[in-house]
Amino acid sequence: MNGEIQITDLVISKLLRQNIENYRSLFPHVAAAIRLNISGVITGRGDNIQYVYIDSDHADTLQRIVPAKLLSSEDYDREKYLEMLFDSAESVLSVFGFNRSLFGFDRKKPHHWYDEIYQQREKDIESTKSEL
Amino acid sequence: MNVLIRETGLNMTLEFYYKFLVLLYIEADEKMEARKHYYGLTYDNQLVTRGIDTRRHDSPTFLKEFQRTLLTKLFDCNSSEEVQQMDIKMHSCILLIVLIKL
Repeated sequence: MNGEIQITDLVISKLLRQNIENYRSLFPHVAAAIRLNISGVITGRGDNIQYVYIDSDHADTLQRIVPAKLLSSEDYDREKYLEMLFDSAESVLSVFGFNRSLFGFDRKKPHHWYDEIYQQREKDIESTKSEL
Repeated sequence: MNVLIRETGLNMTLEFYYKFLVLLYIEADEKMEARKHYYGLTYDNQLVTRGIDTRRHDSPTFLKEFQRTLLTKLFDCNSSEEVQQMDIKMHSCILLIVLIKL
């Protein structure tokens, strides 16, 4: 790693609420559990799964993360962790006007369809105002 | 407190006495305050947080430490007026330090 933060400080922990075969979506912690199972570490409902993002945009969901138990290098997805950092700062400081665009970063992409509509509506209002 | 208990008929106790309290909004609606998402500083300088990264069990250690540093810095202020007037660049400095470390 280039910075002072240790890779162990980047580990995310999530509880496996059901056995992996019952999940319909491949959430990161489910992908980590599958990778553990493949490597011989059997996981199931109730286990706390720890993982690190290594390439969150990888086409293969199983390659986006690496279980903490299988960490073999110091590589991690810096962009993903930056995004988490900004999410965290915005969650507590947005009431004071803080957002990531102050640093030249694009504002957070909308998570839900209604966020997209809301943002589009704001743009429409702004453009109507400037036309008047 | 006694008036509130009498008027509502609900039993209540005073848990913390806040110097500052910030009630956060729910993610889906920026106009509606969330019931269990807030942070504040008590009069005996205790930082109290609920529903944010400092409290979440799944958050990585670096994120918890970062957010705690951020809030501690925020509450260096002596009044709500000072918080409101605080230059946003102060937060930026903290953020940049962490960005360099990451």
